[in-house]
Amino acid sequence: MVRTLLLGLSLVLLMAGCTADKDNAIHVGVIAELTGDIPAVGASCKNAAEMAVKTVNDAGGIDVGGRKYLIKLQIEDSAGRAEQAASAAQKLITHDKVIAIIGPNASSGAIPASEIAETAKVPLISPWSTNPKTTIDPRTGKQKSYVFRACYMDSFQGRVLAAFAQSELKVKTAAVLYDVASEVLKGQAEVFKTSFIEKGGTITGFETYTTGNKDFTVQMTKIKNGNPELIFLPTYYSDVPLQVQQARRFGITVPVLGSDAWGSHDLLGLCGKDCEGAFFSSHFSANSTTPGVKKFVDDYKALYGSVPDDVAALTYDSFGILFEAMKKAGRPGSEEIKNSIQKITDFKGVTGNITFHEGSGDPDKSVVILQIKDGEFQWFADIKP
Amino acid sequence: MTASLLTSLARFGEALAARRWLIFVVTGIGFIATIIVSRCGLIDQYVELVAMYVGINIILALSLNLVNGYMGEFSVGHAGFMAVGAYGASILSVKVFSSGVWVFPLAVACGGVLAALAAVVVAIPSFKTRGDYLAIVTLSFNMIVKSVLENIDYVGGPRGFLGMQKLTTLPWTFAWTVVSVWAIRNFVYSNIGRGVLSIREDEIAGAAMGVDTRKVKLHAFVVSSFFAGVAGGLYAHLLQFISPRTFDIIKSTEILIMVYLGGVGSIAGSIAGAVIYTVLIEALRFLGQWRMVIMPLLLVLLMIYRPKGIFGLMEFRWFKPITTKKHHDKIPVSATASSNKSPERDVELLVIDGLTHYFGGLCALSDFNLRLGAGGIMGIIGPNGSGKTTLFNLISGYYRPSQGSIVFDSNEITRLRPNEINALGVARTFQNIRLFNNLSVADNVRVGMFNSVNYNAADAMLRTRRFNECEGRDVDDCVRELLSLFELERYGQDMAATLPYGLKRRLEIVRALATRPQLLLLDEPAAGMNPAETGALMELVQRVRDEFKLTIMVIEHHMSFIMGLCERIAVLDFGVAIAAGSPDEIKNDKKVIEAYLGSSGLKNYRAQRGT
Repeated sequence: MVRTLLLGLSLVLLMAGCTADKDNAIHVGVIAELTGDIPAVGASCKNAAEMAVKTVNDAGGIDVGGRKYLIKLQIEDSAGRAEQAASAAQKLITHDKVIAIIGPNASSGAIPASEIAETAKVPLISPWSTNPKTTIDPRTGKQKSYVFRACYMDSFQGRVLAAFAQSELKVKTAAVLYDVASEVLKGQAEVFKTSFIEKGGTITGFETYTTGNKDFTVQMTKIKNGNPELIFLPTYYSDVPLQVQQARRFGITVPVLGSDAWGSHDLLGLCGKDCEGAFFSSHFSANSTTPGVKKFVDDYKALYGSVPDDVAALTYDSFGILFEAMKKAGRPGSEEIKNSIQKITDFKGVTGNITFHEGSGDPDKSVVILQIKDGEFQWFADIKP
Repeated sequence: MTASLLTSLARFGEALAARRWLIFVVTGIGFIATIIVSRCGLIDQYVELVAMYVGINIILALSLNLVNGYMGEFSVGHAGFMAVGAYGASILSVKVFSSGVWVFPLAVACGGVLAALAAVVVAIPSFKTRGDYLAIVTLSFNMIVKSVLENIDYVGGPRGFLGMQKLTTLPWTFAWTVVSVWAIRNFVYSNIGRGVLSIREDEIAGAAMGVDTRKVKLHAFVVSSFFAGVAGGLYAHLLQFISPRTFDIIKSTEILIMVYLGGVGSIAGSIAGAVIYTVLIEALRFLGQWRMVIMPLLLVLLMIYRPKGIFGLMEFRWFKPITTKKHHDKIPVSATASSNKSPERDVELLVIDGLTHYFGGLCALSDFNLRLGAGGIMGIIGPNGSGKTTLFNLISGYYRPSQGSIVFDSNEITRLRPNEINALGVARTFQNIRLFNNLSVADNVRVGMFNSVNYNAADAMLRTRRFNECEGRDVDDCVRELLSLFELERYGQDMAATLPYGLKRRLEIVRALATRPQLLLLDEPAAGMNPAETGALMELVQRVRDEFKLTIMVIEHHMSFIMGLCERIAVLDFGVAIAAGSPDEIKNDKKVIEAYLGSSGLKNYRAQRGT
């Protein structure tokens, strides 16, 4: 009884949400974490999505197979929950008839949403999901065909950072201190260690702590005893200042290298002079001098009054990839767009040059290395492994 | 216009509720419909997905309602049990079994069993804690489960676990939902279910009526967690991906919202809460960010205007058991009540030796000795604070004495728990009435029969023959007879809270009698009564003694009551027994008069009497 009542009720309620399909519009869905525990991520994603679509529509739409289409954006909230991300994806596909989905950003939502997109054969690009499982079909172990991401993965980042330390900073020994409670950071630390050793380096210390620790005396003593040429700190930006300050107090003066977990402007205020000269990897650098990035940052600032962050840049690039694929697809269909994304080569995005290879949803792209210099994040290099 | 529409709706609901056979029709049609609909793709996949969420959420809400609504505890970590079920079922379906049609139901059920095992771990601290503390225990459990899962690489750690087939379908969800509703409804409307309710209403009174609160809590936690685990298994095989983060405090909070939205202590409420919450979350999507503002706002408003939720403590008639009207061959209650032993006057029923109890440094009872033969009424008197109620609390097991021993009917009961002492044949009433206010008068008496049934929780949930025979004949007849014996029959279905004061006192005695005691402790039964009521009570107590062949100990301040009723009287003053004997001996005891009137009072008293 309940079920039948419910079905009736939900049908009635949801009819209101249906949108009429117009001939000259292409529907694109966005799933963002607008509410829940990471609303800042959702907000950046939504801003960048709206900006990307506005730019295209203001220019008269997008040319697909000789016809101009306007992009119609449908943004859904996932509340940072797996089940809501899944229902949002299902709604976008069945009700709003979108031909592609951008998002969700958090892997916990991106994985179930990508299952639905894959089954429905609708391309999905997650801007920010770094979990390797997002693009992999767990049952076959192969890559999903319709699921892509705009960011690089943690393993990739760890490898690139090891290469950067050895080839650019010319160090042969390094010590690592990381937050063992975070899978992301643990992954970065482990991959860094493996790659560093593979290329002939030595890891003199591999120390851990848990989120919330404020005293690193024990770890620093051990690191100091190993006498490394570099310390790698894949730790969250809020922990970095204490660690760097305590390292300096112990007389560890060697260069410091961090990962994308450093990427918050709060770090500059908290760390002050101690972090001067440190390097870290990032998806995106807002003060890059590349014309594309500059235009993106200026436009974003003009629209929203703030500097775009990683998620905004990656979302913007996800749309860039999608639009690029649409132009080459010849027909505004999901299947054509999927095939077209797979052929994208050297797309010049604001987060670097992106290339997809047939049969993989993970991009081949460069990692941005930033340096803290004169109290600012400054672009240092783009590194490809 | 709207008024007439509402009345016709209400009439329709009434007509629907009266036709019980419709339950089977609706369930059957529902099941067939879900099969047809999902096989032929008749409905939109999005609606189908939401419908499956609704089913899973109904199971979750029911499961939590059992602990929070029916038992009145406050569990805030239910997602922990859901996680255990989800991971358990997923491991079985992905890593242990390869394929087969039976895999899915088996995996989901095993997930439920694992969650139930986890519940045993949580139930044990809950024996000691209530309220806020239990909330903290369950909260910690939720966090522990999450952290443990994050550190097990076998199930993917924090990156989550995938590889499940999409085995959760609409018919499966429907079937599991129906099973959950049926089983939890059967559990609640059974002996153990009444035990659960008595814990919510008044745990102390429940234990005094023989309810084994530990056993009841354990059962309720296990059943509740089993279904939370089932919901987890269904969830995992619907989304095909689970991560520890999915089962965090926010998930637990969602379940709490559904329970309190729909209504505590109600199956209809759980269903309504789950349906409304799940459908609104999806239907309000067009509001964007505001969606998550509207939901809590609705809840706040609801809590202000309907604090127990939409169906709080109310139930749709379909879910209630039918009250049998048929009479069976009468077994006189008075005969069954004291069937265990026929009391003989010269056997010592209660032997108390050197009983002493301290509250911190205060000696509430000091070296109290008593030899009480079977039969008869004994009075305990003494000024306020003289240790009378402390004595009762020691006998009935609420306090552990600092020294001394209590032997009842040749059983040492000094260190037993209240329900164990009750099971041996000691029942009591309370100074300030402790009825189960939100239960019917008949159910109050039924709780008293907790130890008189011979079926277990499984019999109740499956409604076996044993259950039907015991519940339909023994329990119902006994309750009916007790109520009619004490002229409470016409109040049978009323809430105990609505009874007038005198009847509440009477009901408390009837409830105590339902536990079939040999010794009945009455703590100030005439408190707050006028002389006429006191007289009626005296008659009642005498009747109880004669018809039930009980031994009675009574604390009272009404001297006429004590003197007119008791064969023996003990007098306490500042925790010390200062006199014992027949009413006449006590009346003329110098120490007693002094204790009651003070030494100056004694002079006046003597002057008046001219001695």
